[in-house]
Amino acid sequence: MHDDRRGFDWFPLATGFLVATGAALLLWAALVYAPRERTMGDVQRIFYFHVPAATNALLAFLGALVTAVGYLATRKDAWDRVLRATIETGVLWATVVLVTGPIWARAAWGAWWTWEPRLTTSLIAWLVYVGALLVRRIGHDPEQGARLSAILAIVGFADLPIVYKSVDWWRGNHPVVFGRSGGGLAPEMLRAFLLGMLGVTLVHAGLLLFRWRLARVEDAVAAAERAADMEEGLR
Amino acid sequence: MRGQARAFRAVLGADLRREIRTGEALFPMLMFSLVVLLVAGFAFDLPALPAGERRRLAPGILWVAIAFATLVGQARALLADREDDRWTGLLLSPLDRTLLFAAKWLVGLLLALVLEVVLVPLAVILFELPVDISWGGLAAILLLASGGLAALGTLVGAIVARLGRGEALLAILVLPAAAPVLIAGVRTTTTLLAGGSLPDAAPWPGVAAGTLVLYLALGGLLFESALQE
Repeated sequence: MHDDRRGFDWFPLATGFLVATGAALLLWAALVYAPRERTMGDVQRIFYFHVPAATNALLAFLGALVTAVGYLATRKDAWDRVLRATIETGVLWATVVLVTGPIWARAAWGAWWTWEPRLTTSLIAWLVYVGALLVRRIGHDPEQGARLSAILAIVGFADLPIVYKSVDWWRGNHPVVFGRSGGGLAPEMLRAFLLGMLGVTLVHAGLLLFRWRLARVEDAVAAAERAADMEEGLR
Repeated sequence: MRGQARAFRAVLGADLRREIRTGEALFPMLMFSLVVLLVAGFAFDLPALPAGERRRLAPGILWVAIAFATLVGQARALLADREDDRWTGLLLSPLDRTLLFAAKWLVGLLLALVLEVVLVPLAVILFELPVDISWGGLAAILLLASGGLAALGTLVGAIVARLGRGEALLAILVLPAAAPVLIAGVRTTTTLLAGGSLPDAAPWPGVAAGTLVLYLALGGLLFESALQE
């Protein structure tokens, strides 16, 4: 399963390059290129981190849904390796959303937390997917952990639209930037936003590939340990 | 088909008989929810509050008690299944996994309903709540929301039981996802206590019904994967 050939391992370098490029692009777009917003000032720059992080969290959780279904349908470890990676990167981006959101809200709305639908749904998603990571940690049998984690990834994702709608009905006041009622963006800000989106997505791609590779190594180690145990037993 | 119906009745009957004889789930559920009412009374200083304030707090307290007690009951039942190794028998039975889920869900729902029959009058007495409300509406929302909680609890409970863990993990996994059910339960109950009818609480009874259908569908589809060894 694992590549045994000696020689230079280009994989960490390549994924590291993706992460570094994406991070540099994001920082430049958000902190240098983007103009200073008139009323909110520099705090508005959080927008270039916050929104791409939210988009990428959603992408990761969508990926987790697809791979969870794939895993439960086929029981092939290859699906689970991607599942492990997507849940972890999804939780990471959701954490970024949950940290940057309140900082912005404090400056813009005067309150750290507002129980607003997107923020609250992000928190619930974060809790659900941390749960999916947790069941894998608690179990002893990796196959069982993978299965239970996949179930929670499916339930969690199916639940999110109804959570969002419920919290929206319950309470609501999130700024809508895009869409009919949104304020719209100055052309420079839109370009900065798109560059930031590209930057975050590149970082995500690098981390995802690296984590996936790590999952392959984890599985190879586990397989080697099982083989060694069996040999011990035979002796 | 008839074999499946018989197996379904057998599983359901065995669980209910065991519960009637031992009270292994219902007793801790009742005690736990009673303690929640008591603690809430102290925590919110309820006797000192005017009637309007009490009426506003009571639905939240009631649903916290119901949600946690439902999970306590389910964790008890599923862990007992595991300790006595009843799962092996259930897994060897010819019963379709979706029907097995339905049987376990129905047991969870019945337990929750019995709990509520005791708990709601207790809350009315302890918090001096109005009695001239739409009891039919209250019964409907209790049925819908408890059904949703029990469905999610049954599916996730199977996972938690597999891991040999109890109520705490079950609550961590179920309650965030069950947020729509809780909001729907609290909001509808608040409307009913203020003298409204079930339609006045829209969209919340609909949310409770929608989540019930969603969690039943997910449970029916995924229960098999949760049970495998």
